[in-house]
Amino acid sequence: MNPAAATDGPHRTSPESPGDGRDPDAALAERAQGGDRAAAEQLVLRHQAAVARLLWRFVRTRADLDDLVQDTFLRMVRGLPGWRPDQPFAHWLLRIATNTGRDYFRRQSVRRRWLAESAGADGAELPAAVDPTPHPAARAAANEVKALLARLAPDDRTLLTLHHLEGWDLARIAAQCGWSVTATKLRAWRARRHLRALLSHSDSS
Amino acid sequence: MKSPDSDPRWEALVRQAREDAGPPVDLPALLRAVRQAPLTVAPSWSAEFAALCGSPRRIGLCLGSAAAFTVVATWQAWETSSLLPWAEFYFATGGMP
Repeated sequence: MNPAAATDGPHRTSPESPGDGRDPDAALAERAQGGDRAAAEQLVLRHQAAVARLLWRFVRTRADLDDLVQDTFLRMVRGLPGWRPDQPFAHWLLRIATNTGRDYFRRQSVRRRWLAESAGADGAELPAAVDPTPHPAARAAANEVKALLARLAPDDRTLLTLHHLEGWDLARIAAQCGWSVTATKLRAWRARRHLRALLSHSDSS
Repeated sequence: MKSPDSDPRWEALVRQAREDAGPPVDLPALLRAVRQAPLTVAPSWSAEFAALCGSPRRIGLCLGSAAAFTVVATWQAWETSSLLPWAEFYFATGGMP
């Protein structure tokens, strides 16, 4: 069982399946737009598991996950006046989460460059905190994939993180990141080429 | 080009990595943060229109000018219509000879 889903309790709904075709969050979102704080909290409770699940692909520690999830929902609160009922709320929120993850990758990239320059090291990873998990093998595999992807440029890292770890196709990634499909395909081709080089380098060493 | 997807070791690694589930979010802290954040209220259409025009005073001025124009234009049209023979004929006879 996904531990994040356990926190939802009775508030859990499926944000991806509108059922009768109407966005199940539209009414809550409209109330939140009107200043109803309880409605905003309901939206947080409904979507925190999905947002955390997505953002976990971007981070390696619980502290970072909490920061990014909080940042995403604060951006949601600030951006609520800009949400329009003609766009599914869950997609709009996941787009905010994706952008939060991209920004995190950019900050990490800058920090790693700065650390490499100031210490003369080869961008050594900071030691990650150890969070307990019921599936250590899956966690180890995820950390290995994340460590490899961390050596790519932030946008390439975002693309391959969403593609490989979250299983999104390129069209969905393009829509979420605000890129054209053609540009996304080209970026994916370059990123895979770079990743291939990293993989063969790690195999040989 | 050979994609990393076609590397069996990479494929197995990614498949296993997808099964990794993250820790639960610190929900009380998240809700506290959301409660403290100022909730921006979406502006109504009149407020958006007012912002577009600069100030509500300008909207009042605009509506007043439009009303004044309508009154003057209607009055002028009425004055003119009495000078037009066809209009007199039409109004006097109801269009019947």
